[in-house]
Amino acid sequence: MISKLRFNTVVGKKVLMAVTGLAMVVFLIGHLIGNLQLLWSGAQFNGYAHFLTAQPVVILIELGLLAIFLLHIVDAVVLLQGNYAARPVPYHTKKWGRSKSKRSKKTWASTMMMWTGIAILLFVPFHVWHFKYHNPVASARPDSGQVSPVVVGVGSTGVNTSGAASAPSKEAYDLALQVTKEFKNPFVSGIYILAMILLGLHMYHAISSALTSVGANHPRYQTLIIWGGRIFTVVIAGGFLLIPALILSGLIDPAKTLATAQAANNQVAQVPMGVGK
Amino acid sequence: MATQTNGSKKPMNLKLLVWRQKNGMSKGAMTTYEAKNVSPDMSFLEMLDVVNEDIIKSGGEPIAFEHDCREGICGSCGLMINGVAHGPDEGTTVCQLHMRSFKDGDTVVIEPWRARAFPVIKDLVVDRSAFDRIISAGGYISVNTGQAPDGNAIPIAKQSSEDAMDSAACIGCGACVAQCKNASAALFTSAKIAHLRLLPQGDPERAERALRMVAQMDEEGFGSCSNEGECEAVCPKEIGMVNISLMNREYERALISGKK
Repeated sequence: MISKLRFNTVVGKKVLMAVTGLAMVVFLIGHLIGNLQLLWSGAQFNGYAHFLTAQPVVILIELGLLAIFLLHIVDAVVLLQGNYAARPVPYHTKKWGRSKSKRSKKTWASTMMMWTGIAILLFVPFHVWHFKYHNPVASARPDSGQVSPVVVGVGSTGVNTSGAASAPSKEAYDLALQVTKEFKNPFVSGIYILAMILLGLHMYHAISSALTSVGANHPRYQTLIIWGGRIFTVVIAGGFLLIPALILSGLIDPAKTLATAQAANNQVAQVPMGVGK
Repeated sequence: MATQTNGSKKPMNLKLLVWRQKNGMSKGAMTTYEAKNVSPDMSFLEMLDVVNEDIIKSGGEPIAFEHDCREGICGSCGLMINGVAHGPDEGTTVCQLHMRSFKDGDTVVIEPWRARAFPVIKDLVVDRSAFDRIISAGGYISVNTGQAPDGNAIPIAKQSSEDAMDSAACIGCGACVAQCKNASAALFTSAKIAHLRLLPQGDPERAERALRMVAQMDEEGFGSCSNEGECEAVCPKEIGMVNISLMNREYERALISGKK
């Protein structure tokens, strides 16, 4: 019997849930640090984007993240099925235990984990498509041997990672300008702001819950884990939310921070995909 | 949260909405009863006793509910009252809940624990032997047979014995499962694992206990823990959710160390 137990138990599955979730949180920290550079300056952001796309290890990280993402979802579906099956006859009346004692940590965020999770599941493919594939930023790997129609980076600085085969001025692609342009559309910004609120709701419960699941909770640290998790969530989700919010409101315009000398290159960036070939 | 305290001694009239189910096979339904002239000093179970007497007098089948000590220490009684396990008072069982927590004219909804692992036997009585099977899967320690052991042969830190006692206070009533949105038995199982884990006597079976009890909890069909702490809020013994974290730690340790 013992040999069959292992991870295929409710505890094992919750640990897997927590570990995959925390791994995605680590990714979010890096992603946020990268994105916030856009608020610093468009050139800084473009430079960072170029630096990232030139790293061959990024593709490995992307595949790893995809696997973690899918594991998290499959695990959630399996756990949910078990949870629904665990109570076949519902209550006539059910109230939160929190109405009786504040010892309960139940919140609306913890109650809606499934729904916020589904929302994030819908948002992530859209987001990856929107900024990675739809807008052709590094749609071909710079070192893939193919001549990429676009290259991440600032044209005027002569960044060209696809080799000397083509002229930099024609291949340069201004990601900062593209992101700014998209976020000036209230509809696009609205989607991103809403998604970040939902991500925040998911993380509001998830951080302390994941730490409890992996066994990091202890009477001495309980308050720290719960409030630390909530403050961390506000910082992360709030940080992501700031970017579309500031650009939409016009408080920050990364495109303007790019030198006017790049105007010619900006025109190149608006040339439809494939023309650069 | 016992905010609705009836300070007066005036008898109350209540409307009860009670789950009636003939046996495990039949389909149950909510049935309405009148509880008249209820003294605020009555316990909740005494109120049910009075209602049952009226039902018996009128030739009906009394409402079946489980109870034993009526002192809040045996864990037999357990009812979902107005959607909360053990009713509105914090840190008590149903038998220690008094009618002064209700107001005249209130409607009181009374249901049995709901979980696949706790099938209804009759009315408000559920079969909690799933808990017994979890205990027997690993809730034991190795002891020498023969003479009684020397009283203080094993030194135990005061804090450890206090912590172990906090976990051992679990009376196995099942309120944690009843209140949990996932019908998870994580709080019960973890309290049992923790109370033996925190004492040196529990050490030899430490890894095996975590693996076996979690496996049994799974086999009984309980859900998983979402770490909301609803269990902790309704626990009559105020067992903490930190026990669940300890159980998960023990489980991981057993997995990683590969011990049986």
